[in-house]
Amino acid sequence: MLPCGSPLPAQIGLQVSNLSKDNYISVAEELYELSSDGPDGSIILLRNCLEQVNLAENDQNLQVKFDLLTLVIRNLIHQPNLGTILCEALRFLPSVSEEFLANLCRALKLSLPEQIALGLALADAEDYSQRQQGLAFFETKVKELCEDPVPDLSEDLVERILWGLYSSEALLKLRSSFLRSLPALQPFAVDSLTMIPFFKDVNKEVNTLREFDYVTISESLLSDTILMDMEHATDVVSLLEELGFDCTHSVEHCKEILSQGGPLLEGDVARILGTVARTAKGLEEVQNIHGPFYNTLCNGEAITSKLSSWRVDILLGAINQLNPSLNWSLIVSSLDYEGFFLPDENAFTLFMTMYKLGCEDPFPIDAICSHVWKNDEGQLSFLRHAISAAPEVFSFAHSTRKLMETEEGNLKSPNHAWFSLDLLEILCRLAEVGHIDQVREILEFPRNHCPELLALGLVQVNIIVSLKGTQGSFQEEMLSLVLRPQFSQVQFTTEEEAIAPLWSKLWSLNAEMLKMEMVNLLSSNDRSAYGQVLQVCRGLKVLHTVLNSMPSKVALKFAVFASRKGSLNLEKWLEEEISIHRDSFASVFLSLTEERHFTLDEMDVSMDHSEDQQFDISAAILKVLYAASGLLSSGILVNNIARARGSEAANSLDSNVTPIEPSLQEFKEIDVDKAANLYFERVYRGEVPVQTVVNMLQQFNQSPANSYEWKQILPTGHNCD
Amino acid sequence: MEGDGDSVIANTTKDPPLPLPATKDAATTHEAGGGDPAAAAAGAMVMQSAPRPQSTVAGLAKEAAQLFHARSYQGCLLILHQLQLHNDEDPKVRHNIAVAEYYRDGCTNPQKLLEVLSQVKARNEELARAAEEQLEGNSSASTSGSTNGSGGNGGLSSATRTNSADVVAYMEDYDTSIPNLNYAMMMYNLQRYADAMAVLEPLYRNIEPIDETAALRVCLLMLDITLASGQPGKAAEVLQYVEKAFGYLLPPAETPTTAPSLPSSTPSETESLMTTTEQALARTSSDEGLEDYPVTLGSLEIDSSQNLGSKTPVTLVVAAREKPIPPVDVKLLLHLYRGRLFLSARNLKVSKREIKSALNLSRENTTALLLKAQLEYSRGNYRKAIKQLTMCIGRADPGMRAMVLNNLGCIHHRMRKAQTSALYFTKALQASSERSGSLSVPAFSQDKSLAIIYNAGLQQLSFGKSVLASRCFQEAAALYYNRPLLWLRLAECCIVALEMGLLENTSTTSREVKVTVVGEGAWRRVVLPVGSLNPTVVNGLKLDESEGDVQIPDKSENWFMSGKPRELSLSFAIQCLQIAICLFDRGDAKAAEAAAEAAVAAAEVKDGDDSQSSKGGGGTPTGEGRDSKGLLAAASAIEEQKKQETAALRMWALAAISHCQIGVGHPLRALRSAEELLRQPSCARPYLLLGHVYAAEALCQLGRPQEALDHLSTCLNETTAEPTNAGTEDESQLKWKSGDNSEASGDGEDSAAYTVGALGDAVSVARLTGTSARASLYTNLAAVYAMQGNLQEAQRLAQLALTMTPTNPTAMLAAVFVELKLERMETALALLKQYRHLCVVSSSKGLSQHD
Repeated sequence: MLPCGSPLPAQIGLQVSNLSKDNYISVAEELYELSSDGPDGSIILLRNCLEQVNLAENDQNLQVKFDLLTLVIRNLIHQPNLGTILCEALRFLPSVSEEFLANLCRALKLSLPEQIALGLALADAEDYSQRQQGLAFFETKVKELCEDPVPDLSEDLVERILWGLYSSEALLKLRSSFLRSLPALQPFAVDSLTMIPFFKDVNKEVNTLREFDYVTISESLLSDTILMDMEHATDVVSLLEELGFDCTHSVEHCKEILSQGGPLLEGDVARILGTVARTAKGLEEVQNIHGPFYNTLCNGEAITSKLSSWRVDILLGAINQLNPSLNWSLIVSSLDYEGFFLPDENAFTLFMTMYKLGCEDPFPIDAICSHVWKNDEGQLSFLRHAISAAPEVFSFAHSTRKLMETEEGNLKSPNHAWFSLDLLEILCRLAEVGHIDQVREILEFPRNHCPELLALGLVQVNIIVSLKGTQGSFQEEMLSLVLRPQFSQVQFTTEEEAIAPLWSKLWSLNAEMLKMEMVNLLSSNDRSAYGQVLQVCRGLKVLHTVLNSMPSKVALKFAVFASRKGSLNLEKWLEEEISIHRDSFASVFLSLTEERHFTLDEMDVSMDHSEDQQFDISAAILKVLYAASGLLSSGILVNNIARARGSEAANSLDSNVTPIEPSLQEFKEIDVDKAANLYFERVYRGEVPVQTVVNMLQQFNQSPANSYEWKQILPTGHNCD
Repeated sequence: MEGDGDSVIANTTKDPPLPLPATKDAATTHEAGGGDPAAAAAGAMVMQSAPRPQSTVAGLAKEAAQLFHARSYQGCLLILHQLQLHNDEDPKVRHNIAVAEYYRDGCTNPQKLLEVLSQVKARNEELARAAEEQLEGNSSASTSGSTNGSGGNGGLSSATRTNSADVVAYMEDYDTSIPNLNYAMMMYNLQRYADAMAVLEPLYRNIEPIDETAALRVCLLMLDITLASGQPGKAAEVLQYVEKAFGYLLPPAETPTTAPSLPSSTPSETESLMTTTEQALARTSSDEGLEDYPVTLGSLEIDSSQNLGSKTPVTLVVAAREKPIPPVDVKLLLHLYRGRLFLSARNLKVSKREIKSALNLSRENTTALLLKAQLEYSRGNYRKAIKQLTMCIGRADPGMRAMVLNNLGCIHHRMRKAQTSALYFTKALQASSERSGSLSVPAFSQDKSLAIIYNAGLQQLSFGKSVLASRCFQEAAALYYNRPLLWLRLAECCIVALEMGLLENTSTTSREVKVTVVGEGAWRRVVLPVGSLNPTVVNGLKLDESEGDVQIPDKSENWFMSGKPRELSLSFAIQCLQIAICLFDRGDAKAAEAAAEAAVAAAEVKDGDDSQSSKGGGGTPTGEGRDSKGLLAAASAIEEQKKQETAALRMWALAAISHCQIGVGHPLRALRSAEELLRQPSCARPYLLLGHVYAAEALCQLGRPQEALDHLSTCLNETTAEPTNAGTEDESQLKWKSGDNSEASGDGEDSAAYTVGALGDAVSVARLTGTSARASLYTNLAAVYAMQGNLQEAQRLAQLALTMTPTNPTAMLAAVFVELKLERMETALALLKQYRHLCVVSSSKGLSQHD
């Protein structure tokens, strides 16, 4: 149903009423589009057309409108839901009678079959009298049809008519006469499947429709292809599972069973391996159906021994004999089928045994790790066991993308799992599609045993997270978890001293991630974080780079901390930042100084600081800010800076601190011209909208402190208009 | 159960199906000629032209009969041709020639035989009329022993005693019963059961004058057809008649009532019975050598008789002997028939006894063995059933083999070994199509591939292979076109295909939203498809015209091509469902008629019984009474079962129509069907739910959300009212299938298997009456409230649904939708994020309609 206020009715109505000869084709096309999705459009369209045709007696475009109506109706007649559309379209018309239909049909020159279809459609109406009218019209027209058969009636219509005739006992007579004339109307109708019940008596006994003579000629009791299709539809994999372990009694026997379906392809083999591995620990219920099967359908002697597990050597022997040219890497990729799941380690080991029996090449890790499977559960079950497998069972050593091997690493990850970037990447992806908990659990081990490897891997994983929201990606989350302990091992010293080689590796591999992690760490409430991060930065000699890429707020705090520790010249840094980032930076800084307790506490307890120090910092910041006011575009901001500085100055008066601020006079002389020019330049370049400047100027106007200076530049503002 | 009544005849049928009667015909004539006084009369016709040859003729005829039974058809024909020289007008000889030729040609030309049969029939009638006229002329002074027998006309009873022999002989000469019987058998063999029945009915109704063996055959053929076509009432009636009229009544001692207490006594009793019957029949059986092949015909039961879920029961095969059926064989047959009847009434105890008696008579009888397998199957002893069947298969011929394989398929289906079962069916079909040389009528008659393919289709459908399944069903339609079940299954194929996204044009398959841009300038609009249900789901029906010519899709021209399978579409589903409902209606009408008739008939039968039993005197009236009661009770149990099935199936069909009509965008009709569904007496709970939900959906599409709301609220109230009962009620709903036999106790675990298939739908809904159904109700309600603008309520319900089933994407989408409507983008986004792992695969019907 259409939501209220949908533009659809309006649009259709407009188009229909504006229809003319000239725009006929384009309008018709458009209307077709509008009405082709769902019944609503069609109903509205039909209703509009009918109204237009009804209303406009003197409309010069009447003929075109008739054409459109005809087109619409002809189009609808073949839709299965004609009834609803017609009845709904007519619902609001005052009098729908048999006559109305007859007139309509005459005006539109509809053919007899089309008229019948219309009558039938009206018989679907909920309104009783409409329904009767429709039926009556239908009856008249069918009579006409019987008297004067139109050849080649569409079979769809034939069926509709028959159902119409069966809907009421009153039409019984007409029904039989219609059935009689049917061969003339549609000679093939008699053979149609859905017509059978109309032509046959419903005795309890039936005459089969399969003629002996016909069967003798065609020499087949069933249609030609169906048997073959059924044979091909045989799924040997389920068969194998249903019949159980005894299928692997001997190679010959196994072959016999596996060749019941079509040729054995990679997909089948994949499912066979998966099934065998899954059921390795036993089949749910062995109902002993294998024996009878063997006796009846295979030509062999009865099997006496009963196997209690799969004999994979026989199975693989049979598979390889049946199709010696299997592509095993394709098989492994085909494991992504619904139902693949390795429940335990044994299953995995069995699977790998089978793989090795089938193929001597190293396992195609790509097929497992290159993308998230549709059956992600299955993929995860495979990976989980692969990771913990002994190196002789499974090794990731030949991953395409992997970390540099180290001795220590080799010890900690014997099957090279944690060297494999492919593996890590697919794990991250799997976590993103909803398996976070499981992946976390899997990563628990490397996190505790070889965190460096994991960290190095994580920073190299390259995935794009689609729905990136407030919570970070799994990769970041994991990296934090891994790096926190690493950071905490870093001892802050005043000296610049060597740090673990891990950091420089991480930095060189993915500086962005490391920086992000630093920011995360700094934003946490860990008091020691600042010292650790600073130490790492100093060790890497990347303090400035790090600061520059941090969000302003964090960066400022960190910079303050760094300057306290003597690693940074705060004022210089501030100036640089302001000159680059201007307003955005300034407002952050300002807000920070305004939070009186933009505290140093959070940085490091051990660091002794006092109110004074805090003042110093705020003052220093404000000083730089104030000095850079000219670079800022927002008048409010500049004002606020000035005000903040004012109060700071007042405070400092109390505490006998000399104002750092340059005098008004100074400011005026030095900066006003420069600043004004700067503004206009930016307006000119389109960086700042004119209106902003105007607003700003107005504010300056109201501000007594600066009124003088700013008024001065007004005259030059002629191009503001 | 399908009959192998053929078998009966079959035996005849099988190898020499027709011949027997034919032969018999010949034989009788002769025999009579040889030893009987009546022979003179019999010979009369022949003699008419040449009095002298009488004895020669008789001799020749006898010889011919011997040759025929020895299968030396060529020799037989030679003699028959000689006979023809004597009187080439004699229809009997013509008849026998035609039969012999038919056999000589390997039973491959039924058409020719049928022609001759009708000619003979016509000729006989003509002669009979002429003779009657003549007789009427002479009636007052009949001369016995003269060339022309004379006597009363058709009404034998009126003939005087002296005349009677002549008259009988006379009537025998012109008797059309043998050609008619042969005709019916031919029809039966061609699997034209209705035609066969049309001929048999009159014969059965006027069975008294017919020669005893022929009469027996008539009855047996009737039994086969009635059992095959699911008319247990009629079958029981015929069976009773046979038992009484042919004096086989006694075995009942073994039968139902007293049974358990006297197992030991049974054998002796049987024996004695046998002797008596043998004596009684001695005359008939004295005939020459019987054909030695017990022929077996298999019949299959198709599952269609049971309803949806249950897979097919097994089959039977009956072996019968040659023409003059030795009494032991008749007894055997009767036991087998009774066994079948009780089996389909699920009266396993009695049926077991019958089968046991049958096996006592003949250890090796394949039919009995198959029946036993079926019995075990019905009791849920699958392993035993399999064992029984594998024992049979060794000595089975190809047709038989097909049936055994089919039965194995059915059993494995029940054991839920889907693929193994499917493979058995495939092999069964292969076995039945393996044939050396050209197809003969008996082979055709025995062919059960249509039944097997139905089973195979069912099996495929249960794996979800709807396309292949529908092809199987369409193939099987040749035989089962008047069974509503077949049409329901076809519709189910369509619906399953739709669910699996196999139908074109549904958005279920593609995740992309197709957007069309229409108009220009200010009037430019982007058209989004409305929901997933495109009215033109019908394959290929989408009209891609813009010019104005209405294009009738190509497909429609092909629809009519016979033999070409129809493709699946929702429209096709609707047609099938309509057909099914139409068949239900017609069936009801017929049943009403039949019931009226049956009442009359029952009264008559009763009279007949009374008179007979009083005449027969010697019988055991009580045993007899009980016995017949058992049979009739079995029959009525089956009927009752059918009635219940029909009611359930009708509900399923109505619900499915409603579903499909919504699918093709025809809410008016959907609403109508849903309302009809809700009007059904004692509408089962799951259907109630469906009815309300579909009605609500249709009403929404019609822009009447208030009414939709009413439906949904009613439904909600009903489901909350007695949530605990839901399970049990549904169980009992479905229980009718599993029968209530104490002996079937082994079945317990299988009862679920009964419901695989179409009913599975209902069952799943029934199971849903717990949380899922409730959640989807909430979702739907939320959607309706949202349409009405009552967003608070909508949000509450959507939240409820979501908390109930956090993994349901539809519920999640509903919640998101409501949030968006409330213009709370953040919350909506948060929801989407939270549930991002729910990839929305299935289309959410409820929602898509409204947004």
